[in-house]
Amino acid sequence: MARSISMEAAGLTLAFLILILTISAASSTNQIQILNAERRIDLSSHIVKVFLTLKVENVMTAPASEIVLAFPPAQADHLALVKAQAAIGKKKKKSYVHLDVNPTELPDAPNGTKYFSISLLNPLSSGETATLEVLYILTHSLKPFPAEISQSESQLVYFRDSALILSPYHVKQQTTFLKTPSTKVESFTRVEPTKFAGRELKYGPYEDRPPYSFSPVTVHLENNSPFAVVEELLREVEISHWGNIQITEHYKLVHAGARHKGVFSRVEYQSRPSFSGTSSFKHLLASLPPRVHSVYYRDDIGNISSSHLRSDYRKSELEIEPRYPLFGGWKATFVIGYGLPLEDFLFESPDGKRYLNFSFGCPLAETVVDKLTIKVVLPEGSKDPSAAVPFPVEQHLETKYSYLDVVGRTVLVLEKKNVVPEHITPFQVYYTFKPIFMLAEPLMLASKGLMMQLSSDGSGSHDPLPGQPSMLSLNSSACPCSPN
Amino acid sequence: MAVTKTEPINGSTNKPSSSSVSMKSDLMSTLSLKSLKLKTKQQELLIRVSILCLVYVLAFITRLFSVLRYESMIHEFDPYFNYRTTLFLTEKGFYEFWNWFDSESWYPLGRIIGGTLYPGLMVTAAIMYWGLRFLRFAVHIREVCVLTAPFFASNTTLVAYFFGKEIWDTGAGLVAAVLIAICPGYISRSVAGSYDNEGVAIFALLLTFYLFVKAVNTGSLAWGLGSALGYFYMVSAWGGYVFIINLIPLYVLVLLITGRYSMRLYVAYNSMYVLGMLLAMQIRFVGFQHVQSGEHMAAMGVFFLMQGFYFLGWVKHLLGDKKKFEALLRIIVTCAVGVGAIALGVGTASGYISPWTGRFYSLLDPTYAKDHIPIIASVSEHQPTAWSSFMFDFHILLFLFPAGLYFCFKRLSDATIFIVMYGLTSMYFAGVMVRLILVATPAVCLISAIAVSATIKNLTTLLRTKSKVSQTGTTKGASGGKGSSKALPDQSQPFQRNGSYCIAFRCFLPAQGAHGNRVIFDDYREAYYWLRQNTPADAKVMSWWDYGYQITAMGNRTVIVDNNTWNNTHIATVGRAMSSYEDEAYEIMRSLDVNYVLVVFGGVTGYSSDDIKQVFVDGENWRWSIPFLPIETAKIVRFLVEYKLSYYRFGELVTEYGKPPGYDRARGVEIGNKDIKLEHLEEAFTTSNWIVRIYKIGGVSIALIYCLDQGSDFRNVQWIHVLDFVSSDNLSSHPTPPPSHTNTCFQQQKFKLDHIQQSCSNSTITAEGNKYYGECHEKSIRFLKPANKEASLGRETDSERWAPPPQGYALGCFWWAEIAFV
Repeated sequence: MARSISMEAAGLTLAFLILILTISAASSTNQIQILNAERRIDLSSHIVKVFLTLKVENVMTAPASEIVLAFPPAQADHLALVKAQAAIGKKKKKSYVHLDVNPTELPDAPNGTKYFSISLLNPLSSGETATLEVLYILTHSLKPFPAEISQSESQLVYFRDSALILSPYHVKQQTTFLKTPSTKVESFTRVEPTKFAGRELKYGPYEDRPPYSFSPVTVHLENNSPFAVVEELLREVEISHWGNIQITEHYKLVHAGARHKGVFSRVEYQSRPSFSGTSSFKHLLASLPPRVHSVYYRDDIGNISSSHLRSDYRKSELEIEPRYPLFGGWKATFVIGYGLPLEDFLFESPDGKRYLNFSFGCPLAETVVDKLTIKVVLPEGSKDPSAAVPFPVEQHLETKYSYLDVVGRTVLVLEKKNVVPEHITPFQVYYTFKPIFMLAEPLMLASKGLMMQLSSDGSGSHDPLPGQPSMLSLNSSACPCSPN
Repeated sequence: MAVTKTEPINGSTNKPSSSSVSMKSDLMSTLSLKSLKLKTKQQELLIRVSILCLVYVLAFITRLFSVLRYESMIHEFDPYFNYRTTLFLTEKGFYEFWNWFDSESWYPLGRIIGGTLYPGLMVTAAIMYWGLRFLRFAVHIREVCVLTAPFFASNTTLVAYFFGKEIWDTGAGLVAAVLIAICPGYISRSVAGSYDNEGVAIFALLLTFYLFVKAVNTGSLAWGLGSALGYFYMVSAWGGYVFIINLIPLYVLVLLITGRYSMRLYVAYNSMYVLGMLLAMQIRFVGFQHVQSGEHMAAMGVFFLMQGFYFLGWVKHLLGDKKKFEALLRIIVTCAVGVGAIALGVGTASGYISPWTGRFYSLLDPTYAKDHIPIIASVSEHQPTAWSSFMFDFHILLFLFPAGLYFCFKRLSDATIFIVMYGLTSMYFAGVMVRLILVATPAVCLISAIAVSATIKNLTTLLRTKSKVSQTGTTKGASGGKGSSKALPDQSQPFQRNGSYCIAFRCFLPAQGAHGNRVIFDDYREAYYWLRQNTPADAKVMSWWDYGYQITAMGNRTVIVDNNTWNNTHIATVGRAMSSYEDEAYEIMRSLDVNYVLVVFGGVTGYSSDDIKQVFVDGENWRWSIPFLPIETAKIVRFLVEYKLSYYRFGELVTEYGKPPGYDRARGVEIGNKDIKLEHLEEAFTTSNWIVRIYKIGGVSIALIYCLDQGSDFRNVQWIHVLDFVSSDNLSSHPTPPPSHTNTCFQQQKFKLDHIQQSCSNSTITAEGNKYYGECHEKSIRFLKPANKEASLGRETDSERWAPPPQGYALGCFWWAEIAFV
């Protein structure tokens, strides 16, 4: 027995050693070469989406299990998301498999280049090729120039990138396509062959470029899409086992495009909407879950009367209008709040824990969130909260005092920077809860004397946010925690 | 028992049993009657309590209209200031609040908030808020503020019940509670969202009166103490406490004259006055006024009179001889009157006792304000009351009031004398000023309740005696009569909805859309929020003073003037800037360090009480503030800033179908000048319905150079620091109105402001922290008028200085037509 175990251990160590060797071999960049790279950059909104299709080949003998993507440091700072998938099968039966992408370091990174490594499903053996599709999203990458425009001007922005794909590998053939929002392009750097037709600017094809080839290009183009950036978004999800989930979202919205300069003329804005204030926006669309109820839209000084809610069984759409149109640099803060039926979002896991299944990200369409904070306020008496989020987020715990609380509610706080609409994916918060605690609030209400005694020791800092609706008027008919 | 024993001897066996049966039945009937009586008493109690509960709820829910129809928000102007201060109190705590120097208003002067406001309302709301938070109700302070007024209105109904019970009977109390719950004159000032001092003050006023009457009726020190506490609350809440401190002495005087002096009265008045005065001095804004101001002297005089009366009674008792006593009396009275007069004279001459304020004069003489204090006269709620508003605010009570007076006179007692005096004096004041209808409302309700209650009682007794005589079923008629007469006060309910609720929802204007849907012109908040979000945090906004409170509260920006008409010079400067040529206005604005100018314009929506009306038409009251305006050439108006800012680029807009562009819907004319050019100002924002327009001042603001005391060297110091220094120093070292005239004189170095003539002000800060402006030298500006809207309106000694300039300019309302067609 003992011997076999030691044998096994030795085998494992060997396998591990081999693995390490493979990785180091993979990171030695001349193992892989890119046969064909096609990059499509979508500049039609202020969120830059880049679709990268790579055809890679293992030219060395050792199998390669990961492919490394390289980003210049300026781009890496604005990188919101990197996703990769591999195409499997032939043309007709093509299917895509999601691949893991993780930030990594390479020893000889020139000029602070940042790397992401894509782990392949099956290591690429010698001579084998694979096709990878990568999507990465850049925020704050369109720099308005001129930085200040007047009401009648349209917004021009710079986009800077390289005509050649930055890669640690040798690239045999590559092409880059830029999709512009309009045909109006002021100027662009020429790196022959370069072609501009319609709304597409084409760089390439370029043949046989060595690793880390770089050729900076600048495109100066018109982009009047709304540069809606939420500087801070605080989403508070308050769970009540009496049948309701209350969401309160605090927005700090800013128009991050070219700053508005000089006069704002209402008469021009009203009478010539197509020429005046083209880069400004006055509507925003928030997509909310179906069966949403008691929706409100307000700010520090009261209700904002300009919003419309359309809802059907699949989704609800809330169209909101800030109090004034947003021009470049103008800000608006507001609060959206709504209630949701508990049974749509709260479930019981097989191990007896309850979990909330809710969507991450910002409900507003086409917006970037610089800093997103999600606070999941669990019912009083909940224990052991843990979150399962598909991407890295910062987490910590807080305590909040709301209606009729004695010991306070556990709040799980999730924070993430640079959030784009692609981050709208479900996440789960698991916690344990004894049903007896459900009686806490009615008991509190009933026995006020007792409550006063108890609450005197718990009257610490408590700061519920404004406009919070009462938890007492909730529908108690819905069965809590029933999987739907 | 003896009878029953003797009767069997007589031999009849049936009789005793029958008699005993009848006895038993009698006993039974009396027993059942007794139990029935107990039951009716219980029933009566039950009905009374349930009626009171219903009235309590009714008073609350009738005031929720604006919350249900619109939203839970603060309305009007002054409530915004109160809300802002309450927010500060709850966030920063009481000491910070008490010492708050607000640099966001009255730029560059600032305002010592803690010393220039009545904190009762804010403290009340904050305590309710903290209490609710302690009980773990996670309410927002805004909700508490919005619902404070209805809550106190409900409490007022309870006080009215007890008051009515005290002066007449329970029936009158119940009717009074119902009436005060639904009286439009009171509803209009206590709707949800109208978070103003009056909301709690009426409760405090009625409570003080009730407790005082109770004290007079019982002679109990405890009730006297209660009324002193009520008075303290009233003083902390509203400047209207002056009414109490004058009415009660007047009442005592009347009782003395009518020979109703009693030990009860002595105890009640003395305990209430002494304690109330001492407590009231704890309010910083009121300070030592109880012993220094002419308005409070009557109470003190009556206090001494009471002591004299008591002393004389004692002497009379000791002497026993009538002639001796009369001789003594003569000597004492002459001496007392002489000493009193000398003391008053010396006090007044030395300035220790300040004379009556302009506001007090204007109460006694309704025409006073118009001639002497134009700013007070220009406020619509300070106008003499029109007959129609009496009708709207009192409705049927107007007719019940004389009947109630009749009943009171019929059954004179200490309590009814009080309510009669309260009713008559407050009715007089209600006639002088629209807003004082509020003070008269409780009295009118109580007296009308007496009328209703007494009439019904008479009627029912009449019907009962009739029904006893005729022995027929006229009880039905009686109950019918009762029902119909009971219905009387209730009938007033549907009518009042017209007038009362709509006291200026000035934050947004609901209107009817083209398709019959409700459109809300939310332009004010749009503009305020724009200011809040998109201007630098230290931007100074100049606007007509009406909007000052809202801009600071909702826009969170510094304003030059606000609704606290604290310093007329400043308001006049703004008024002048608005009605100057652009060049001149620009200089004034620069000198005031203004960054943005906000004007309210109703030409697109047809909202007529906009700035154009305020500045030019109401400005007529202010003609001393714009003395240079040669209005006879109305063409000039076109070049004045207010006009230009309102109508800038308006000529390009078609406001109404079938009308030429630039058609002003508020005034119904096409504007004369459609090509307005601005030199120094640029349009920064205009709201979607053009109601609020904001302009930005071009160029850099110049630093003001101030001098502390004339003759000393110029120092580049901040106004606020200067003021801070002055105020803290004076407040601590001179409790009396100090002779420390700090000539805070500011001069513009770069610009020669001919028409402002170096607005020097000789400012004095009194112990209360109020700032009063004294005389300027030479022929300088006329507007030396200081004031504090809420309380003491400058203590001017020389009414000459208040006078409008000799050269009166005819700024007629007809200028509209001229603008349009010249």
